[in-house]
Amino acid sequence: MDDRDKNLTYMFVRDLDEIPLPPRTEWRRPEGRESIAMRTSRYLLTAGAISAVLAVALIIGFQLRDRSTTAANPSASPTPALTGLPNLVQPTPTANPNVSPTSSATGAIYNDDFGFVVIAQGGNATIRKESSNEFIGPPFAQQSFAVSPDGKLIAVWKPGAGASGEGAQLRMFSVGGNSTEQTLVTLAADQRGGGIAWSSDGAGLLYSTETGSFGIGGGTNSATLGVYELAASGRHGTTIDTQTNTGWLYRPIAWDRSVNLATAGLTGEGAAMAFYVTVRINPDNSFNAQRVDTRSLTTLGIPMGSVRASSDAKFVLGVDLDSGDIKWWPLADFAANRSQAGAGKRGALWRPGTHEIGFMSAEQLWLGDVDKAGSLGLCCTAFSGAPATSTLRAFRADGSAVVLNVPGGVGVGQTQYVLVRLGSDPKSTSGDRVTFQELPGITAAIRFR
Amino acid sequence: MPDVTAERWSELYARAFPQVYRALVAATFDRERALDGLHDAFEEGLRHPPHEDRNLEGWLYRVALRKTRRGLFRAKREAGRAEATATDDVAAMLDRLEVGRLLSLLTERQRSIVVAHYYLGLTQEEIADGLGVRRGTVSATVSQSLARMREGAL
Repeated sequence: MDDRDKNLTYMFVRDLDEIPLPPRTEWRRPEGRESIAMRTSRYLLTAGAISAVLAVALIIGFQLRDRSTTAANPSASPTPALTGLPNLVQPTPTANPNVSPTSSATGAIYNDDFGFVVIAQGGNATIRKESSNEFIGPPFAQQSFAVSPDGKLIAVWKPGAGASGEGAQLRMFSVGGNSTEQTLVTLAADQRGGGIAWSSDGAGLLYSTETGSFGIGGGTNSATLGVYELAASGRHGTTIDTQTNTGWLYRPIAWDRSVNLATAGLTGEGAAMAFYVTVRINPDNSFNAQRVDTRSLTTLGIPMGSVRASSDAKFVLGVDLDSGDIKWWPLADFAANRSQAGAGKRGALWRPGTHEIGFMSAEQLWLGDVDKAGSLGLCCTAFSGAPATSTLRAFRADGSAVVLNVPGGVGVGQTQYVLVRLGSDPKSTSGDRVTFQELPGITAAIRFR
Repeated sequence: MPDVTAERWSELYARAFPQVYRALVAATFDRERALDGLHDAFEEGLRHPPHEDRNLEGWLYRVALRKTRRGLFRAKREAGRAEATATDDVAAMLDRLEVGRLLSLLTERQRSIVVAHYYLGLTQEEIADGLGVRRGTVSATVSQSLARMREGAL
């Protein structure tokens, strides 16, 4: 597909998706309603019947005339009696099985090599397999964890005991349960853990810490950005950038160790990204930090919660809170950002292992490859027929399926999800799916094997 | 898809409906015919399911299109119209869309091919197979349609 074709496809999808759909109840022919073909058949039959009646009337007329002629002329032959008019054939009722669309082939869709991070009772997070609601992992703080790029490890901040006790700890455990939980970093008692991001090679963690109260003007505050490398010879808790008395907090975004570049957002009240910070980590342990002002005078900006890096940390995306525009940019250069108008209002996530941004548009899941984005933006539809107003919640850790969140679960306090299997390219998407309930929310995808 | 059940078919149909319906409206400029064609295609699928569920949209589109063409022929006879025109509401709705305005410059046959290619993403081979024409015919139709749309856009 050349650029012209991509642009036309974009234009067709953009415009034709505006065509309103009929109510769901009309997607199948209502009981007793005839098709155009049947209606026309009936019309033709009616016309035929009327013609037949006229023909018969003419015949009768001729016969009566002949009979009177016969009466006058007894040598004429007698006329056979008419026994009735032809019956109108009624159309056969149209097949209209009232079959509710439910899941099928569920076994083929679930893959218990994979699972999810979910919110358990008490507000903590834990893990589950795809096919079962059973919680199988230890509880951990839902606000500050990160799943490794391969989906097999979780790093989490364990809150400290307060000013007088032990400080917060950066910990790591395997979702497969085949290794003990490790404490990587222990903070001072007055420090809190902030956010965490894994390096793209899974060999290191970028994390933030903070002290004082939150927000601009919130009093004394310091925030740090640090790195931890899992290798014994690596950096173990090295601070690479600091904010003092600014009120800003770091939220780690990505760390591409292959180019020694770490990035984070600086945020304050409102949790929108105020600055995009890039830190070059030099071999001699010197660090060159730069920050770009990402604030807008006219909009609320990009919430940090929407900011995510592709699994190889080459690109970052964020969704503008006001417009819903998806913005994406190369890791090193926020100024090179591009955007897709209004597309991210129902979620925007990177498909693992790709440069494809997944997002919902009407009933369609789009997978737009930023490497192939033309002048008109991202293209194209991967799956059509998603439940209306569903949002994109997570990709399976290997990108082979996607979880959609459907508003209005059937049980009290439950949320409904749809797991949709994807193909290796958009057009080969099978669309096979299964609907399942989950008491709490799914927040991330993991991989057991 | 030889072992497809009615339940499975219903699920697949519901999933494909939005895209195929919109494609049919864009091709026929007639919502009633589009819906009726899709109803017919659904029932056709219950009786004779497609052999595989890849590209289900393509299967539904071509079956429904075939049905709508019969519907068009009959509707013309039924209504005694010399030419089918877009109903007012569909015309108004499509007229608001850039693509809708460009499609109105094409014949129904051209629209059905262009929409299949650029909206449903069918390849020229798939369109040729589905509509029973040669690939060269599809290619030529796409080229002519684009030229006409380009002239209309100027």
